Amino acid sequence: MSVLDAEILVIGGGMAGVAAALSAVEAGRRVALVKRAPGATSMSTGAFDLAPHPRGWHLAKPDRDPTQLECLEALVRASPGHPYALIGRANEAEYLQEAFSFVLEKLEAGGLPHANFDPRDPGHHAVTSTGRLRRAASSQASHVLRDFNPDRARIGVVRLARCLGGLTGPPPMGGNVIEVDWPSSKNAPFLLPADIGKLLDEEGESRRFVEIVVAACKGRGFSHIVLPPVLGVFRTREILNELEEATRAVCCEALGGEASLPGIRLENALRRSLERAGVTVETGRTLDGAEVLERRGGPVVLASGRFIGGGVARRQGSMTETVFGLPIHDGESYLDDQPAEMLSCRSYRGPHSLFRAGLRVDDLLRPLDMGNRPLHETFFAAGSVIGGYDPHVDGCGLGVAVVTGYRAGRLAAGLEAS
Amino acid sequence: MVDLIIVGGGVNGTGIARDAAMRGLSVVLIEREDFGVGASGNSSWMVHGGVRYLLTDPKVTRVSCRDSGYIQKIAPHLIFRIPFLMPILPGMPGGRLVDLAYAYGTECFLGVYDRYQPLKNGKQSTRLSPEEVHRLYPAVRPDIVGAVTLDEYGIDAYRLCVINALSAAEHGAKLHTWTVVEKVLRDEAGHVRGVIARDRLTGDVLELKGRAVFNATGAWSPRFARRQGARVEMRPGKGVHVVLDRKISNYGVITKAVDGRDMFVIPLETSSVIGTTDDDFYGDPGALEATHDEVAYLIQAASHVLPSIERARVIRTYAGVRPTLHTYGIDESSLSRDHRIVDHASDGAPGMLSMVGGKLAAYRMMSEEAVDAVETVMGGSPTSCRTHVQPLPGGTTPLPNPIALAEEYGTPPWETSRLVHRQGANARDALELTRDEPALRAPICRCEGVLGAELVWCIRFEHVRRLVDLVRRCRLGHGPCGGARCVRVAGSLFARERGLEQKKAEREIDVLLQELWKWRRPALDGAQLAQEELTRGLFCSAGPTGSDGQPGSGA
Repeated sequence: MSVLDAEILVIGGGMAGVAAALSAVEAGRRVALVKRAPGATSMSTGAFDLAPHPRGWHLAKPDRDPTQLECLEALVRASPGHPYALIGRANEAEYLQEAFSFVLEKLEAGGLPHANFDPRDPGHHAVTSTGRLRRAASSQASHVLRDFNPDRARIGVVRLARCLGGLTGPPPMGGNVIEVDWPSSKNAPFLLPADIGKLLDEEGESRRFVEIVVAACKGRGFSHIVLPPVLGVFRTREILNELEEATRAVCCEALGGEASLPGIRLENALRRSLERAGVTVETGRTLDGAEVLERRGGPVVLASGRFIGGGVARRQGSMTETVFGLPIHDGESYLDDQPAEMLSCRSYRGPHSLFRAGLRVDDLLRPLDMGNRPLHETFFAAGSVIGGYDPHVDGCGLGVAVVTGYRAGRLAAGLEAS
Repeated sequence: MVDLIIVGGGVNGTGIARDAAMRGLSVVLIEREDFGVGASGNSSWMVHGGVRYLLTDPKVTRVSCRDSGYIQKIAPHLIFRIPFLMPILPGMPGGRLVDLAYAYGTECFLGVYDRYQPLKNGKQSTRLSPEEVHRLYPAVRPDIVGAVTLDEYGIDAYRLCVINALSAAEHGAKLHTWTVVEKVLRDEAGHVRGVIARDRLTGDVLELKGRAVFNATGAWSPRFARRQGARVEMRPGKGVHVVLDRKISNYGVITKAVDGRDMFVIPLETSSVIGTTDDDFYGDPGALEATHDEVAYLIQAASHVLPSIERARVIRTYAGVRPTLHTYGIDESSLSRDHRIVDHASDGAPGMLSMVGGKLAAYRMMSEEAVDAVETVMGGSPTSCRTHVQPLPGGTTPLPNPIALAEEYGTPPWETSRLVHRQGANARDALELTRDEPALRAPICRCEGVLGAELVWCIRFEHVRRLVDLVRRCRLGHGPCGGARCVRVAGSLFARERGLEQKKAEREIDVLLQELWKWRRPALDGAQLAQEELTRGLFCSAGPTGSDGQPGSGA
């Protein structure tokens, strides 16, 4: 049977598409998911962010942080075109809790435990790839900086001499850098985090690694040890446990940067959770929107991403949605053939309408035509293919993916229709 | 009191500084940003012989060829050969016979150019059949009549400025980058006697007395002269280049734009570059950006000969303003590429000189003429110039073998070969830094092959005042990743070397990101947009910068 004949069809296999597929399965539907290739989700830092701290992530007084819900409310106030603003329910703590808990449980069942999410709390502490402290709504359990008290903590930061783009920031956390030369042969190649992760998945290699790190940290009285996010694709918890046992310090990984290993772990967990849920998955396939429309009667969820995912593209000056050729909107107006310099401004940080480009949807996540009518009753969009927000500046890529994906899946299954 | 104050740190300013300092003059050089930020660094990076000027300006061709040969001797590490193909396209009115006659004519024309090739160690031209062309360069359109080759050279034009400045400093010159001239001083007789300048980073005001002031500010020179009541006649021309993400061939290829102008696609370092536009420019050269229509014009011209370029990934643009000599009533491409040195004694600013026009390839000879003129203005007669025989810093031969260095220091070989290309004989000294700090063996920029050791070497010894200066020292941020991989690491090394606190380090990173954004913005399209989204994710998702992320005490 072709995927086009499935009861519910999801296009896109990043966080939003998977959340949609899983929530539709949960509602008792049979789901097929078509995926071209890993996209932005596979480059995730490992943190799930709901909304940015209104004054920036870098917190001067960590004990007086706003809650995640307060961050979200500030974001919605500042950008009324944001997908969170469209979905009234996204502002309700109960709904956020429901969507996040659902997705995080599925990821844990897929082998990747995450920190608990609570919208009424500021989130947990984590360390960025540049060695700075921040909060996250949730993240992979290995990133959680547990029992952190800024007044008492004594943090050591491990840098691997052979790791490309490990922890790179200004002397992090006050400068207690522990240089670790591993693998230590003089002409060993420089490795990407993913290559190091693969090495550390071998037990012998990880034992040597743990010995070297423990020896380097010995007697320095660290309460917390932060490592680069390279501790295996699969054996992360074991390696951290061994380190904690030997050092008596809280050990965690920093969040990923470019070439992120946590992103690869997340991608793996998504695949496994789809398998467990019995979703039919077809990878490496690009659908022709016209064929989809012709063949299908049942619901479709479009979760094809933005520029990285390939759901939205600009080709020789024309903006387009790539599967169905839908018009592209930035939250204020339609974008078609304007030159790049008119869709952006001189300041790097923006705001740039080019990076808010995507579909315009209604409160039921249905893409709208230029006359403001939904294109189809059961055609939904989820994740960053929806326009009107800049996921990178707003720091809410996975948050929007979880909330809109969860909702789109339930809407496609016939739940939640107001 | 110094002998000469030079304003402008492009190839002319730094070239004049070197020559004057080597002749024993005391020299101060003032540059409002960094070396090569104007037309020099934003040029086509070719020290070509100027085959284009053979019919109209044979003197420019001869001088360019001769000086291209000298540059090969004084900076052998920095130079790279670019063999060109000049494809003969079909479709001349009159049919195939005329096409063939045109091919013959081109061959004869380049045969004349061959007479200049020995001056710059170039190979003689050759006529190639279509099959031979496609074997060398499969992307060339299938219906060509043939091609004729010609041999040219390229150079890292930023570094050419930098090493001229460093050589001047070795000979006693004082360098002030990020310093702007606020006022030119005169004595009672109205003679120019120095300048008042302000350091833009520290705010310090410098009062510099000098016997002569040289205006080598390129596109800014008419404005600089005007403020002294003097005149520099110039017809500035904007030139834009488009950069592709990879070196698509080892050969340069010449093509024609829609308006018939000659254009080229050349392999340049790790990328391919399409150039160049030439349009009269009336704006502020300090606020220069390429535009989408210039990008489209260049891609159209390139795809005329290389059709697949339409699908290539454009990673960035760059733009500069040529300080061309003024002539009224002809089009931009026909303007002479000759140069002129103006002594402002006759128009109200005795003691001040300006330079207009010229080519990158002829900078050394122009600097020589300029210093001759300075010595004359100072009441002496020209002394002897040695800039054509004395190697520039790093140019002492034999150059080190990169593979042997890589083995010896445990550094990756490709990055080490890029280090030898940029640093020449100084590569070993740079690698010595890894003895004390083995972490500096790591490649920081994987696009352009920059080792930690090279970055620290530049920061310590190459007059780097801001993080963004590294763009001009070692191609930081030039590659397809747009700085995604290197900017933070380079920023933290810079902050460490300069002892900057975190806020200032973040500020330096912002300035660098802004500079790179200016290059990329006009060309954001296709696959590059995905990279841009990823890069933004890395640099913008942390929210507003500048707030303090340190967790306080205990550390």
